Amino acid sequence: MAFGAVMLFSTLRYIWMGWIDTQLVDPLLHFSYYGFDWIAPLPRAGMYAVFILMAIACIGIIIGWYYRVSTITYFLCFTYVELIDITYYLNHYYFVSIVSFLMIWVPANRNFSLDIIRNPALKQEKVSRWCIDAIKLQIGIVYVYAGLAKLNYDWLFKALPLAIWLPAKTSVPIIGGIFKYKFTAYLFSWVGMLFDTFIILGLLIKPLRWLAFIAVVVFHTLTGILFQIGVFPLVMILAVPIFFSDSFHENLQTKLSSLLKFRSQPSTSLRTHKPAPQNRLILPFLLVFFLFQLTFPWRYMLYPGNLFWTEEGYRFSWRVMLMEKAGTATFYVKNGESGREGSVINHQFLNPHQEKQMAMQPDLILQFAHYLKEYYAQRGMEDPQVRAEVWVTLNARPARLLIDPALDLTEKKDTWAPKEWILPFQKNSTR
Amino acid sequence: MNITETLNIRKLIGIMLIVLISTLGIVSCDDDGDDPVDPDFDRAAMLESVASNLIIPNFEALQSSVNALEGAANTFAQSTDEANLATLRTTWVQAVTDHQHCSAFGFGPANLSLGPYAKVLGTFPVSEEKVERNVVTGDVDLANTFDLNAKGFYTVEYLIYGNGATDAELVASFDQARKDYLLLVIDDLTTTFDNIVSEWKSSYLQEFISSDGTSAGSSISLYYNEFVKDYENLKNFKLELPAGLTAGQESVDGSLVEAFYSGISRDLVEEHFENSKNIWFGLSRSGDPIIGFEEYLSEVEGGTALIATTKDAITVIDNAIAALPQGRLSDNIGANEVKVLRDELQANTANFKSSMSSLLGISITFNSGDGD
Repeated sequence: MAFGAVMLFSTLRYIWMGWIDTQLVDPLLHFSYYGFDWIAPLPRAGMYAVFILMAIACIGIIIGWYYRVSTITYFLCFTYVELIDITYYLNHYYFVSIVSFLMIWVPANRNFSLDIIRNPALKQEKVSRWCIDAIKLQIGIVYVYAGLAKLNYDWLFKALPLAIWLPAKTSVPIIGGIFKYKFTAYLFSWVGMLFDTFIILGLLIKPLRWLAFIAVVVFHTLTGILFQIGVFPLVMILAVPIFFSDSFHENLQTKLSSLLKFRSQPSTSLRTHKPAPQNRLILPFLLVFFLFQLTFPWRYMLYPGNLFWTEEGYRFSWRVMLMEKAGTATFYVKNGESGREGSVINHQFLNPHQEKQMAMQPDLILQFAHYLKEYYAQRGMEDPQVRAEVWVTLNARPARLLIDPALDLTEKKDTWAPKEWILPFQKNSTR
Repeated sequence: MNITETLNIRKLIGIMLIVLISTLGIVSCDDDGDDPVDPDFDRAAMLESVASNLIIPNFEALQSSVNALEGAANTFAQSTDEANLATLRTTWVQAVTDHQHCSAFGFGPANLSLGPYAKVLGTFPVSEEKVERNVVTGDVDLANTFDLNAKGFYTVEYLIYGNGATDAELVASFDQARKDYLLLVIDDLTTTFDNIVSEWKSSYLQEFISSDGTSAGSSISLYYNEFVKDYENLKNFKLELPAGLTAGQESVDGSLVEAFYSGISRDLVEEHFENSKNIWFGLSRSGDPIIGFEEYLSEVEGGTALIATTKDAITVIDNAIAALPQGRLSDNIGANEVKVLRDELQANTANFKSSMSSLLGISITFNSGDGD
C-alpha cells in the first residue's frame, strides 16, 4: 500500500515545532475538551520529546519500520497534543487523528517496507479490501458532510463568508483581481458546495477519477493559497489517491523503488481482495466506528437555536470555512464579600489566538470564567462572581450580545444539555 | 465496473440530488436584506496615505520634540536654575504629547528588540527606587536594560518634576550624577526616534506599502493590531488600573496614572484618543483627510452598519472625556466620570476589535484556522 506516502505530510509538522512554546508551553491556561480536562501539557522538555517521538513515528510509518508500533505511537502522540487545548481545534487535525487511528488496523507494511526485510514472512501482496474501503468511506464522509454543511442560507444566497474573505485577498498574484467582484464569491460558494458534495462520486466512478483528482488538486491548492489553513490542502490531496486503482499504485511503487534504488522484487500484483477482515472483531468495531462518524455530526439537530451562534454540536462535524465569526469578551470579576467588581485584561492570561477563539465560543467562555473564579479565589478573594459581556459578530452582521451580561457564569456548568443561558440569535440588524 | 456497481452509484447520485434540492428548498425560505455592491478598496493606497500623512509626520514631530528636550536638558545641565527647569518641562510636555500621536505605531522600525517603543520608552508608573539607584550607579546600559520603569519619557518626568519637592529643592538636588542620568535617559530617547524616522524614510516605507495583503504580518494587519492594542492600553492602563477597576483590585491608586508627577494625565488621555480617532476616521494630525478605516469599512459587507455604530460610540467617548474632572487625574481617579469613560471605551472595544477585523478579513495571528 502506497498509502504510507500520505503520512509523509506528517513530517511537515516539524514546522509546528516553533509553535510548541507559544501554543503549548507558554500559555498560563489551556482550554480543554469536554471530558478531557485531565489532559495537561508536559513541561517544555517533555513536549519536545513528544514531538520528536511523533517525528520518529512518522518516519517509521513512511519506511514501514515497526509499522504498528509507529502508527500507535503517532496516533497517541498526535491525539494527545491535539487534546491539550481546544482553541487549536481544527477539523483536519481531527481527520489526521481518525486516519492515523484507522491506519493502526490496516496492515500497510506488508509490501514495500522495511518490516518485510526485518521479517519476510510478513510479506503480503494482497491487502484486504475493507482496509482501503474504510479509509475511502472516511474521506467520503468528510467531503459529503462538508458539502452538506454548506447548504445554508448565508453560504448559498449571500455568498457569506466568502464575500468577506475574498475581497481581503485582492493582492493574491494573477487571480487577485477577480476577488473584488461579488459574483466571484457566489461562484466560489456554489462551486465549493458542489465540489464537496459530489467529488466523492467523481472519485468513485472510474472514468471520472482523473478529472476528479485534478479538481481536488486545483480546489485544495486554491484554498491553500487563499486561506490560512495550514497543511490541510496537502493532507487531502495526498489522501485522495487511495481512490485510484491498484495498478496505479503499483506503478507508483515501482517508480519510487527505482528512484530510491530500493531493491525490492519487482512488485507483482498488489490486489485488493479478501472481502472479510481476518479478525472477527474488526467488522463490528468498524460498524460502530462508522455509525458514530455518520451520526455524531447530526447531533446539532437536538439543540435549539442557531448552530453557528451557539456552536452546540459544531465541532467534529466537518464544518470547515463555514462562517466568519468574531467576538470581544470582557470578563468582570466581583468580590462576593466586598461587592467590588473589576474587569479582566484577557491577554494577561491568554495568547492572542486563545483570546480570539474563546471570545466567540460559549463553552470556552464558560471555561475561562471558571478559571478566573479559581484564580481569584486562590488569591484570597471571597466568593468570586464572574460575568461576561460578549459581543459577537457573525457573517458581517452587527455584533450582538452572546450571553446575558448580568449572569454569574460560575454558577453554570458545561454539559451536553442545551445551554439555555445563550441569548437567542437575532438575525435582523435593528438596534 | 460491473452493473450492480453502476446501479448503486446511480442510486447514490439520485439520493444526493434529492437531499440537495430539498435542503435548498428549506434553506431558501430564509430571509435577509442588505446587499452591498462589489467591494473595491485599494489597500496599498491606504498604506501609502497613512504612512506619508500620519505615521511619518507624527514620528518626525516626536523626533524633533525629543531633540528639543535634549537641547533644553543640556542648557539646564549647564546652568541649573528654575527658569531653565521651566523650559525643560515645557519641552517635555511637548514630547510626551507627541508621543500620544505615535504610540499606536509600534511596528516596523518602532518595534524595538524589547517590544513596541511605547512599551519600552513609555512605561509608567516609574520605579522611583530604581531610578534613584541608577542615578547613584551611573553609566547604565539603557538600551539593553529590562528595567523599563527606570527609563523613557516618565523617568524624565520624575527627574524634572520630582515627587512633592518644591522647584527650588528640585533644582538643588541636581548634582552631576543626577544630571548625567537625565541626559542619559534623554539620549536614549533621541537615539531611538532618530533611528525610527530614518528607517521609515529610507527603506521601510516601500516595504510597508508593498505588503498590501491582509494575512498575519501584512502591513494592514500590523497597523490594525497596534491600533487596537494602543486603544486598549488607553482603557486598561491609563484609566482602569489607577481607578481600581481591574479584577482583584480593592481600591483606587492615583499614583498609577500616566504622567503622575506633572499632572497632565487628563490632557494625555485626550491626545491619545485623538490619535485613535485620526487612525479610524482617516485624518492627519492637523486634520487633513487621509484614508482611514472608516473608508475601508465603507467598501465591505456589513461595513455601513458598523460605521454608524462606531461613530455613535466615538461621540459618546468624546463627551465622556470632556466630562472628566479638570485638574490632576490622580486626585479625581475615583470620580464616577472616570468609570463612565472606562465603560464607554469598553463598549466601543468590540467595534474596533472583533467586528472590524472580522469585516475586513484581517488575520491577527499566524495560527491556521477552520474559518470559524
